Amino acid sequence: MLIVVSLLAAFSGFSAICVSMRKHQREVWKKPLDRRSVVALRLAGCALLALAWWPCAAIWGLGMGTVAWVCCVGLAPIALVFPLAYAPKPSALAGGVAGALAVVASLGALLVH
Amino acid sequence: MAKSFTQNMSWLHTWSGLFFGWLLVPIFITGSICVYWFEISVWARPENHVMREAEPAALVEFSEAYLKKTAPDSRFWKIGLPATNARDPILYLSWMDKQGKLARAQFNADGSGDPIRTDTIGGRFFVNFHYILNDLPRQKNSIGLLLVGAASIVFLAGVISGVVVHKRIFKDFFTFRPQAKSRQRTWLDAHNVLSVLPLPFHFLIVLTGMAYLCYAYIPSGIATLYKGSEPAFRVSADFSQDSELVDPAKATPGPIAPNLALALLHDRAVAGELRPEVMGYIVVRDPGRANAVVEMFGAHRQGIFITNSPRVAFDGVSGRVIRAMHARPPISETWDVIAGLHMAFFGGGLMRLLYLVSGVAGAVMMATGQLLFTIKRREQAVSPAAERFYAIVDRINVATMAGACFACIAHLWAIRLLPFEMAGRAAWEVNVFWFAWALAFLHAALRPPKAAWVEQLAATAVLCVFLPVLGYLVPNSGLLDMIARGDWKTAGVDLASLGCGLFIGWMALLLSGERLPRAARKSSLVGA
Amino acid sequence: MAKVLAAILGGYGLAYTSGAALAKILPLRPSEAVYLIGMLQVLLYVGVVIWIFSVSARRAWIVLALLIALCELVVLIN
Repeated sequence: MLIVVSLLAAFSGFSAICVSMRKHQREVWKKPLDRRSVVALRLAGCALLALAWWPCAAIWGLGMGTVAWVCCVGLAPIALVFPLAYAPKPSALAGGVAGALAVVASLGALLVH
Repeated sequence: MAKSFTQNMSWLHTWSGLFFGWLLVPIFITGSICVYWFEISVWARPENHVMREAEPAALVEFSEAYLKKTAPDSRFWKIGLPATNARDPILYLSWMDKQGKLARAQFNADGSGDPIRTDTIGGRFFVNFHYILNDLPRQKNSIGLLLVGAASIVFLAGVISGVVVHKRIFKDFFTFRPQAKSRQRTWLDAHNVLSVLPLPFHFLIVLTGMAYLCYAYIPSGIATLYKGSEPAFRVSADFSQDSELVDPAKATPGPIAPNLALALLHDRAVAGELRPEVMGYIVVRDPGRANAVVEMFGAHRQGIFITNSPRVAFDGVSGRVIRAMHARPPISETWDVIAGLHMAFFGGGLMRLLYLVSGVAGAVMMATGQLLFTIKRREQAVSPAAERFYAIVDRINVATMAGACFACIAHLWAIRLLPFEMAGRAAWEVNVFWFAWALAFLHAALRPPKAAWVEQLAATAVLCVFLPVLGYLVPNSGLLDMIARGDWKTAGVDLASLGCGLFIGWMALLLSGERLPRAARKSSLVGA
Repeated sequence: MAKVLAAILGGYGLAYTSGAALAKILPLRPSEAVYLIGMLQVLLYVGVVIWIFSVSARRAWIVLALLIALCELVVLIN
């Protein structure tokens, strides 16, 4: 079930990058963000995308895990973009929740091992 | 002459996308289905659903007795043990008959010696369709092979030109505007979203597919080095050199063939670390002669590979180990990894699920591109001839996309419903696919495109949802019984069909306009 | 249209003859050479198709013809 963690992390990573773009900032917050939060969001997004690789590698090993990661990163944003168009705020919120869940689950899995 | 690079790329992307898209969407659909083709094959044979696998030694003993009786003079036996393919475990025997042709027999893996009775194509048709477009052997069907090859090249070129054409994709890739004034905008957004991020996967899957059969698409290597004989190339690439057949005149008659079951035990005892982890198949060259050689091949290796690499060869009389081999040379190994990436034999059911969904996303991505073609142009159509052309394009779109899905599920219905004792059953399973597809074309030609879309998707959804119910008409195949037995692989086929049915039904509902926002409902989605 | 033909037929011709030429000169085991050539041909074909659509049809045909002739020459010499 670790694969779910990977999908969650990829989903939230893309949410973070997405809401950091100017067009989507307006949809979600009604006003543009300051420079520092934009950078923070992008960094967090990239970190989450990288985190998405870890469960794949843990299940399948480096080579195959990378293939799985490519699939996850390709698929997760599809689940983001379509809801985002209809309900920007809840979608962004879901991205945040997914990110938190992914981080907690990863830490939990690390502790168990 | 003065056309810019972008304009050139746009032309390439639009027109090659349109014509080859008609081919590529069905190829992507069947190709996605066939990551599960072994599971579908098992699903198609109800008698195998409640079967236990016998011990390898017992199966080898049975095979040896069978081959001695059936093909005593043959110079080549091959015994494929169930472990060769754990996803579809059967006992597979083949041998060279007197005319030098390969004969074969398939048996249940339970050691009863019963041949496999259900005459079915299983998941094989999806595989054949997605790389040669029909059910003929590849060597007799270069047109299908080359058409798919051309479509693949066009896909790769289309992806690259697409990045040039839709330049804004990287800026816009989180953007989907269902409320946009122009329907074109909405579809273009969907097209972009589905193409950009899964792009690495789609590029990889098509490129590896081409590389997998590279020697067949452009056979100049084989023509030059093997005088055009693909079998000769296969033998030299797949088998070790010491196992080539010796001239029959020089083959001296010797003691009786070695007892293979003993050889199996012998192998475990003597060869020690050389022995393959799991015995996959056994090849006997010149059985019963003094120069007999027994080769044991391991089952699939762990990792992204498709060939069975570790192998041990024995002297068939003395039992001495002649040669052991762990890996193939570097370039063959590279090719093996590339082929492995395409076939998704690695990583288990979960990895295959990722492949399936990614592949379907590719099919939908191309489908949105196809729809864009007419949506974009009809708004500016000037002449009646152009209008007629777009009307035809619309209808072909319906039949190649919704119609292909309908044909696939009709094929699965045929596999379940055709009577087991019917003559030529496997061929009829395939015929049903073609009839269903022809029906879809006819229907698309007669109905207005929008209605045709909704009706064909709805019909597909209904067939998908009710596929599990058919399981109760044949033995051992009730969905709940399979789940209760823990037979998730076989039940998975039914569950996937159910899931697809619900998804396609939802799409049909969306298209029928009942759940659409008002702006989009005013201008119907796929033309009148 | 000239470009489509150049891309499909010309590209195939170039991939085919270059493969034959490579098969003559590569110092590898035959089965290894077939795999390597096949994989290179696929990459070459895609590259050629893209390239053809970025230049004029006449130029594409001239360059293709020259390259194919060169490959044939290599095949004949060896």
